[in-house]
Amino acid sequence: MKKLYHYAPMMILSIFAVLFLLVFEVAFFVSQVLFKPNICSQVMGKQAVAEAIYEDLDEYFEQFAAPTGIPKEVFTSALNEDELSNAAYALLEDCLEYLTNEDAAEPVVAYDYTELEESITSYIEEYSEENDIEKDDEYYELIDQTISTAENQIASRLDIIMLHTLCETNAAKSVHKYAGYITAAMVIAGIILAVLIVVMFVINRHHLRDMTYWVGTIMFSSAVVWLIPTVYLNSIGYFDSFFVTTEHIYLTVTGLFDEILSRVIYAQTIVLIIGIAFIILTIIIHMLYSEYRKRLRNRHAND
Amino acid sequence: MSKKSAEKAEKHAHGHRSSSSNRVLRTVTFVLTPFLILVITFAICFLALVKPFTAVKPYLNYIFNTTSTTRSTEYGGSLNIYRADDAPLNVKEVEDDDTGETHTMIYPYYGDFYATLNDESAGLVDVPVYSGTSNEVLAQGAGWYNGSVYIGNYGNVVIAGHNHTYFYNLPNCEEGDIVTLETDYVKLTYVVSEKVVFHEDDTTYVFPMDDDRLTMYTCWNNGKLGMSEYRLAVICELTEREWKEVEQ
Repeated sequence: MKKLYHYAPMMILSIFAVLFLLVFEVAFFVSQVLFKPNICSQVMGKQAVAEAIYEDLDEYFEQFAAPTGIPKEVFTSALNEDELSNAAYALLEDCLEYLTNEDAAEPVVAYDYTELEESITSYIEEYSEENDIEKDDEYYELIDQTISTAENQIASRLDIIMLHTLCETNAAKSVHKYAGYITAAMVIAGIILAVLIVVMFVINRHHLRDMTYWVGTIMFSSAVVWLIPTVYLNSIGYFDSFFVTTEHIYLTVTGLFDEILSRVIYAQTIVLIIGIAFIILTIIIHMLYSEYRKRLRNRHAND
Repeated sequence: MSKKSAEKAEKHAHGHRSSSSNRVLRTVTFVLTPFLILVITFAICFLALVKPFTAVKPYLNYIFNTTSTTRSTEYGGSLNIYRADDAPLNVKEVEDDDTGETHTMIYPYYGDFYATLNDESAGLVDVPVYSGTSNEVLAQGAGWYNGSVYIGNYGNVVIAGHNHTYFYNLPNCEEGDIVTLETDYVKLTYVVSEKVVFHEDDTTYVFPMDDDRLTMYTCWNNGKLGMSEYRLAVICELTEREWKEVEQ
């Protein structure tokens, strides 16, 4: 094995490079993956979240029949799983946009309640006519109250990871601030990492064949630092014991965490393999270089 | 062999031995360096994160708790998913202020079946009363409001129920009706004294009171359909308290 030149400075620079690579990867993942709605959309599809929302509403309206006297079918017949899914996704998109961009409009629930309102109103009117109930102010107040309660219940269930609730609190301002910091951290960490790599190349400019080793080492170390905790959390199913038992929230949140873990493990495994490949490549380069030097020496000796 | 050539030969032999040990050292360095960098960076990350992790650990333990629970929804069982099946009874010894006697009470866990309510003249027959007033509880029976006094204690016992299920006949209660409320440790007899309609924000009738009473309430939509902001309360005065022997 050929010796590694400038070992001490390269070692120190590699350690810093690994640290800044980790910071870059975290910031990149949060700003480009977590703060985008695509990952949630995939989770919603995989975990059948729309179905869970519908079933939760079905159960609620079954209980709602008790204080109102209105059968659950009056409410559930006006619900549509696809519309619920689209509304939940649109709300999530708007919430993420609002949290990461101070100038974005405040998110609102965009679900069409027309069919629901008609269903409730017509049922109550039919019942009232059959039972000769006077249509006084109290009568109309009850209808309004019932519609309002039903709409609020639907809207609350569309907030699948409670981002809308977060947007309505003062915590949104903190998220605005930190979202900006994360993007800045990503850029700064990326620049510093690039500078460190360039410095390593400059120091090792006369022995560039060693650079594959150092780059491979950086990739190997950063990948393993990621893989140890993520593989552990994945193996014990840590996020499966999420305390909220409401089905659609539980499925979305645990699905999101599982998806994040899967993506990190997948990506870092690739980085690990590439890192090991670079280290092995260095061995090959060293062997070839040694062969070349030996031939050169033999030729000179013969001459 | 001359002295010089002997020295040369020795030097050459030493050179060979140091050259092979160098090769071993280089190989070991080559193999171990990635692991060394890994250990150092892992240690730095650990030291940097240990304090923030310690600060959020209680919240993480709460959010991702690992206790598993089972739920029993059978009539007479507990609706409390957080209650272990073998949880001990909450037995309390209380002194009766009037007689000075000591009696045993059993305080229920949330979701436990607690009492049976009867007002036969109104059509309330063997209505199950559970501890708590959540949706899950009220779907199974009437609910004892656990912000009021325990059944058997002095003060205002408050029981809620849905107007289209277990308290459907509550509006049929009339002044003078006899109402009984029976638990495992006491049987209370009341007389209906008053019926009141109040707004849901008005907490007057569910507050603690100085006198012994039972307040049963439900949603009030006056025969119409829909979600009402008003409640109908039937207020009953205590006439008799019969303590039971409790087997522990």
